[in-house]
Amino acid sequence: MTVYGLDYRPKPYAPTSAWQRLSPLVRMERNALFRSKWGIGLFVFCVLPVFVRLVIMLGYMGLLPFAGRMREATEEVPPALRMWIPTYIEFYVEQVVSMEQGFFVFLVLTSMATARAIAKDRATNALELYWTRGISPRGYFLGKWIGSLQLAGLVTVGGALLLWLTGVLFAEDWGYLQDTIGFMPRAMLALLAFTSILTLLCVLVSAVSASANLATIVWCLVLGGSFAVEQVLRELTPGNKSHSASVWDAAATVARAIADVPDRGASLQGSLTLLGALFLSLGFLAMRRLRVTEAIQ
Amino acid sequence: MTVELHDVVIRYGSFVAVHGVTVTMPTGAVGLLGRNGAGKSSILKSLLGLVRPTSGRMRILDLPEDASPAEIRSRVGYMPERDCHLPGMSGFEMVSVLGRLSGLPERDAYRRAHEALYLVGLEEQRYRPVSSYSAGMRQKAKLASALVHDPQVVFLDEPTNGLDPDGRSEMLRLVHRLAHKLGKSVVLSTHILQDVEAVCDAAVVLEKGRVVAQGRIEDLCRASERRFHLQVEPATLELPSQPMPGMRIESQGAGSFEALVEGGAEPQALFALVRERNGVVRELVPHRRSLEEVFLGAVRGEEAKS
Repeated sequence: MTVYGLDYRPKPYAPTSAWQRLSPLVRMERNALFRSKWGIGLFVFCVLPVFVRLVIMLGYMGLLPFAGRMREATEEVPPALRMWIPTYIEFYVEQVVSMEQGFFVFLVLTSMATARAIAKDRATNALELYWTRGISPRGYFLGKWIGSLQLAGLVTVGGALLLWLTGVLFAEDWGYLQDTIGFMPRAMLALLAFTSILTLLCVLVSAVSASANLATIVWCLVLGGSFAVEQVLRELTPGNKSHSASVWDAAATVARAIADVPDRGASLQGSLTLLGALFLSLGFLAMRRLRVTEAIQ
Repeated sequence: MTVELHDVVIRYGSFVAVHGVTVTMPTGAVGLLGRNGAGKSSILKSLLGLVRPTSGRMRILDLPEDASPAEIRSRVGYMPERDCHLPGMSGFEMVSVLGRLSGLPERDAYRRAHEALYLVGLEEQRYRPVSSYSAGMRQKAKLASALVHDPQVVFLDEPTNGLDPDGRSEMLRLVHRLAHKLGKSVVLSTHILQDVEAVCDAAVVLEKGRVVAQGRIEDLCRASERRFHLQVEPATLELPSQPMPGMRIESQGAGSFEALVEGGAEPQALFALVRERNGVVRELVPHRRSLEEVFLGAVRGEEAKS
């Protein structure tokens, strides 16, 4: 026995359940950005839009000098401006799902963290270490996805929840709560669905990519490239709502349908078809790439 | 008994990697010897539950034959051959995470990660990122990961791969300690015969997916009753290559000879043979085979058969 009491010795233990075994993977992925100053800086950048909305919220609640004028200005609002008014569902949903406001932040967050989740493990042969433990490839994938969802959800769902709770706490009376409580569960569900869809696709891209950098590039191409394709299609066939080539717009359309927010020109059916086809094809490829015999030589 | 395989066949599509292997590995350290492609890794993978054998039966420890892979892996530690680590993690984080994935509760995983790293000699470097470790330190980190959940059996796949002589002897000392002081059963898969000779009590020799020799190393290398090493004086003395029926002598220079005594011939006749030529026998000892000779003999025998 050493003075530190670190001698290796047998000690019986009760093995944990399969679900409990996933928790270190989930935690590892959720905390992926917080392991370096650079990552923390990136996360702060990604929550900046939430802070902007927080300022708007505080202004609306009368805590900032321009509050009175803001209230007057928002009594009659056209639909396009609803995304800036805290008493409308668009304020919480569109800040995440709209191309103009949420796209860049989400792309940065997922391409620097989620897209690297599995690809970086493959690059260091870590899969061999994982799969010779009490964990299956499916469990591993699930753990990585849940961790990624928690990280991205912290910005999307967590940000919206923070805004709403701030509004409830700083409102002068219960009016704000009464105005918003009806749509907030829908808004939360919509944001959760949106984040789940895109993080799942991103983790699938990571699973089929040979390196972390390649996964980042492919994910940027999937999000940005598909948006470009959709713009071209819209130019070629104006007025046709059935086409849906942008992955971002497809996920946003599903989220808007859940939140009951007016769609922006893409059909729900087309979006679901696009997402379904992507899930099937990427899922098939990921299953092949994550096979034990391929990862362990 | 640590591992028992009975008529195990492993196929990858039409390629047969393991042909009806029947092996019993006793407790202690067992060397799994064979050239690249001999089927060593396939056997280890199937024992870990990663590859399903096409036919045959296999048992590890007292686990039933139909034990789940998770159940097997909670009792077995595996150190892969390839360089691998969890990206962005320190040695301590990597070992504790792998402990938790093996079924250790969180607190136990942390405690045992410290202990395992201390055992392999990484206590000073445990908080450094694994990516900054040298090759020897990475091998040790992999060994600590294999031991963190206190397995009864440890499969070590080429543990001295890529190590310098110092690192190699340190790793072999560790493996020896595991098998002979800490009571673990060790299955050492390697193609380096000296490693097996240094730490193992028994060996299984594989060639082209078949077992060509197995048993205790002492028995495998047992002194032959027919082959003798003869040392004579003067060193210039010459002996005929076939002095009598059933006896063959081969000169190795400087008064040294190898004699094969078969049929009705007796080794005592060698004394008379040397005396007739005015020489003196300085040494006549039965020849003890090295593991290398055992390996080459078994492999060549298999090649001749096929």
